[in-house]
Amino acid sequence: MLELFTLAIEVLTAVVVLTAAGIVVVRLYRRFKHRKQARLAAGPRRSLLAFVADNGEEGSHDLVAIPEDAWRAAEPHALALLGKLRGEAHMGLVSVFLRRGTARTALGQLRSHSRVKRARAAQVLGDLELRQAVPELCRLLTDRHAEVRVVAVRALGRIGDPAAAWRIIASLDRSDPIPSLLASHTLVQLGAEAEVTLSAALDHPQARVRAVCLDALGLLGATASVTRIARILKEDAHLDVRVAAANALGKLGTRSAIDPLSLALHSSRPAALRAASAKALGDIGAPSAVPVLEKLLDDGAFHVAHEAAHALRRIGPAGLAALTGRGSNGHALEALALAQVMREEKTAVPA
Amino acid sequence: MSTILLVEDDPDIRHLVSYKLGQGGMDVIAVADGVSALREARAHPPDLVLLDVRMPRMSGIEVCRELRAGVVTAEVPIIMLTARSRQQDLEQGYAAGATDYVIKPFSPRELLLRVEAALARVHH
Amino acid sequence: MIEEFIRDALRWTDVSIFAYFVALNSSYLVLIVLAGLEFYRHLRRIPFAGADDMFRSPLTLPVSVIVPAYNEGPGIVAAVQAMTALRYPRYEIVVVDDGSSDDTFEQLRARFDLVEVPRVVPADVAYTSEVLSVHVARANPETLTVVRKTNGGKADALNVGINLARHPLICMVDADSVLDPDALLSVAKPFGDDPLRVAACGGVVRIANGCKVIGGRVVDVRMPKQWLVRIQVVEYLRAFLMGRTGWSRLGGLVVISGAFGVFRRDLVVRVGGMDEDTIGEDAELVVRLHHHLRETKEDYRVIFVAEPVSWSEAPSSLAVLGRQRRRWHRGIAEILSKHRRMILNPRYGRIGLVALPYYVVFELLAPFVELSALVLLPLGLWVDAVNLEFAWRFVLVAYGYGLLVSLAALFIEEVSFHRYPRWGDLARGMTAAILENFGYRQILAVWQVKGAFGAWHGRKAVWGTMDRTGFDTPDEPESDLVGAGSVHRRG
Repeated sequence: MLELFTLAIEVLTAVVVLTAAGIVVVRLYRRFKHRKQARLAAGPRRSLLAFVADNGEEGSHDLVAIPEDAWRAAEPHALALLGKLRGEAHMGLVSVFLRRGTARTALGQLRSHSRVKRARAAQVLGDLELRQAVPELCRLLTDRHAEVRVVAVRALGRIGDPAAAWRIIASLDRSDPIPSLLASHTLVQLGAEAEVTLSAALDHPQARVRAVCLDALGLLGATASVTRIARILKEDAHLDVRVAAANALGKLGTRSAIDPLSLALHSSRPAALRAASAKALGDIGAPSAVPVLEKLLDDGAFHVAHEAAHALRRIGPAGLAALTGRGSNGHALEALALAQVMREEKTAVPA
Repeated sequence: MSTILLVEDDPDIRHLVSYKLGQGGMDVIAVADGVSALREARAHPPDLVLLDVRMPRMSGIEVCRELRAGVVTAEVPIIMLTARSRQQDLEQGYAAGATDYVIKPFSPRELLLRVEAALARVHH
Repeated sequence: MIEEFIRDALRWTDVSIFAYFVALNSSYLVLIVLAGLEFYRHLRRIPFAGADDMFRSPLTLPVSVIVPAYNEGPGIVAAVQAMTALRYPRYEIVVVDDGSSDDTFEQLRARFDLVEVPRVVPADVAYTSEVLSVHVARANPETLTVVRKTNGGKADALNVGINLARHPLICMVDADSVLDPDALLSVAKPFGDDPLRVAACGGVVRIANGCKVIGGRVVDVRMPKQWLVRIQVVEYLRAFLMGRTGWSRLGGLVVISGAFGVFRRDLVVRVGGMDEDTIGEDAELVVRLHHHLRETKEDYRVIFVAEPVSWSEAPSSLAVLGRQRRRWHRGIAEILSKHRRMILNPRYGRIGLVALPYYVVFELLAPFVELSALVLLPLGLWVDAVNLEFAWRFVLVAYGYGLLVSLAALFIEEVSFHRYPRWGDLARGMTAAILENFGYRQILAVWQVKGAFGAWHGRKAVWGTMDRTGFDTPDEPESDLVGAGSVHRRG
C-alpha cells in the first residue's frame, strides 16, 4: 500500500513538473512563431494596403511575386481586407488571389476528406466571390455535415449567382435542413433574378420551404408576387406560413395587399396571424386600414392590440387621430407617447 | 491642405483610409475611439470628420451629436461609415447631423470622392 | 474490542475519503480534457464561423438585453454605455431598476435623457412587485428602456424585464459585467446556426480585478494584485471555463451564469420565467428548462461558449467571498432539492442520470468530505488507526492531484486563449494553484457547508451585496470605470 502511494507521489510530481514546463514551452513556441509570422507578413501587408488604396491598378505583379511562406503569413489579413472592400479595389485584390492559385487550391479542397478543410475552402471561394465555384458549392449543399452545408450556403450568397436558387431551396427539403433565416438571407443576396424561382417554390409541399421563400420575397421587394402571396395568406394550411405571408406583404408595401391583410384581421383568425397582419398594415402605412385596426385596440390578445396600436402610430396623421380618440386604452396611450418622443427628437436636431 | 479626423476602431481600415486620403493630399489624424475623437476635434478642429458608427467608449452617433453641439465643431462636415444592414444607424446618423454616408464594405476611390465633394461644398 | 472496531472504521473511512478525492479530481481532469478537445474544435472553425455574415444579415434574430440593477449608481452609466456599443445588428436594452435606494435611476436619466412613457406590461411571466414607471431614451426610444419598480429581488426584476422584452431572444446580464464587444454575437450565434434546437446558451465569466478597463471594455488582461483573487482566477478557469465547456460537450450543462446568458424568450415564458424563491435563480432556470424539455421530449441543446465574453469583479475580502460562496452553495442545495425527482431518473436522460447525480456527489457533498477529512485524518493518527507514513502520503497525493488539475487547466488556457500575456502573471497563476491548497480550500469548504445548511432553514432570496471597490486602472485617469456592483449569480 505504502509503496503504491510513494509511486503515486513520484508520478504526480513528474506530471506536475512536466505540465508546468509544458506551459512555458507552449508560450515560448507561440511567441517565436508569432514573431516569425509577423516579420514575414510585414512586407506583404504594406504592399497589400498600398495596392488596394490605389484601386488595385498598380503593384499586382509585386503581390503575385511574394514568396509562398510570406504570402501564407499575410493571407488571413488579405482575406479579411477582402470583406471590407468594394469596387475596383475588391476586384484587383481578387485577381491577385486568382493569379496566386488560391482559388484552384480551394476548389480542389472542396473534395477533401476533412470537413474543416471543405468548409475552409468554401469560405475562401465565397470571399473571392468566384462564380465558377457555384456548381461545386451547390454540391456541398448535400454534404454529410451540417457545418459544411452552412458555410457553402453563405458562400453562395456572397457570390450571388441566381442559378443557385433552386438548389438552395431543394436543400431545405430534408430532415436536417440549413437554418431558415440563413437560407432566406442567402436567397435575398442572389438578387431580383431569383424571384421567379422563389415565386414558383411557393407551391412547394414543405411548409418550411414556403416560409423561407416568403421571407426572401418580402426582402427582395418582389411586388410582382403580391397576388400569389395574398392567396397563401388566405389559404395556407400552416399558421407559420400565413404569418410569413403577412410579414412579406408588409415589406412589399403595395396597395393591393391592404384588402387581404384587413381580411386576415378577422376575430376568427389565430392571434399570431392577426398581430402579424396588423403590423404589416402599419409597415404599408395604409390610412384605409385605420377603422379595422382601431377595433383591434380592445383585443384580448396582448400582441394583437399592441401591434394594432403601433401600426396606427406608423400610419401617420389618420392613425394618430384614431389613437387620440381612444384616450383610455393603454395600448393607444403607449403608441401616442412613443410618437410624441420620436417627433420631438426629429424637430430637436436639424438634419 | 485639409485636415481630416478619422475615427475608426478597425486598424486595417484606419491604415487604408489614412493612406488613401494622404494620396489625395490630405492630412489625416487617425484615432481609434469616440472619446479621443472629441478631445482631438476640440483641440484642433479638423476640416472634416470621418466617423465609424460602431465604436468602443462612445458610438459614432453620440460623437456626431456632441460635435454638432460644440461651438468650434458645429459646422464641420461629418461622413459616417456604417455596415449595410444598419438602416437604424443611417436614420439616427442623419438625425444626429451627419453630412453623408459611406457604406461598408467600401471602395477607397468612392470614399475619396465623397470626402472631396463634402470639402468642396464647405469651401463655396 | 471496541477500540479495534473504531480503529478499523476510521482506517476504512480515511481510505474511502482518499478514493473520493481521487475520483473527484479525475472527473475534473476528464472535464478539462474534454474542454481542451472542444477548444481545439472551436478554434479551427473560427475562419469560417461566419460572425461577420451574422453581423451583416438583416435577418439575424434580434435580442433584448435585460439588465437588473439594484444600487448600481456608480457604475450603471458606463455599463449601459458599453452595452450600447456591442457589435450586433439589432438589439434593445431593458434596464430594470429594482427599487434602488441610491441614484441609479437619476444617473441614467441624466445621461440618456430619459422620458417617461405609458407602457402596457404584458403578464407573460408572473412577478410580485409593482411596476412604477417606464422610461425610454429620447434619442433612441426603441433601443433603451428603463423600468422602475418596487424592490422585489433579482429574479423578480428579471421577470419584469422578460415581460417587457420585445425580441425573440433574451440576454440576461449583470449590471456590473464588463462585456467584450463581440459578446452578444458570440453567444447568440448558436441560435442562428441551429435555431430549432438551441434553447439556451451561456457565456464564460472571467475575473476583471487587475485588468485595465477603459470605457466599459477590458483592454489589457492582467492578474489581480491580491493572492485571494489570484486563486479565484485559477478556480474560475478550472471550474467555469473548463468545467462548463466539458459539460457542454457532454450535453449535460446545467448551469448558465446569470452574469451572461442568452435564452429563447418563448421557452422562458413557457416554463414560467425566473423562480423568485431560489437563490441561484440563473442555474435553477436552466435545470427547469431541462426538466420541461425532457418531459415534452423535445430535441434541444443547452450550450456554453468559451470565447471570452464577460468580466466580473471577484470579491477581494474574505468576508465578501464568504458571503458569496455561502450563497452559491445554498443555491446548489436548493436547486437539487427542488428538482430531486429528476436525479437518477432515466426519463431525464443525461441530465437525470449523469449531470445532476454528479452535482450531488461532487459539488454538494465535496465540502462535507473535505471537512471530514480534516477532522478524521488527525483523529485516525491520534488513535493509531493510520500511521504517519500513510497520512503524509495521503495528504500529498490528494493535494498534488488537485494541483495537477489546476495546472492542466492553466495549460489548456495557455494553448487555446492565452489571455494573460505577461510572464509574471503566468508565474503568479501557477503559484496561486499551489497556494490554493493552503487554507483557501479549507475555508471555502466551511462556507459551503454553512451555505448548504442555510438551504434547510432558508429565508427568502434577496440581492447579494458586495462592497464597492471599483476596478483598479491607475494609469488611465479619465477612463469611465465600470464600478463593481453586487455579486449575485451562479448556483
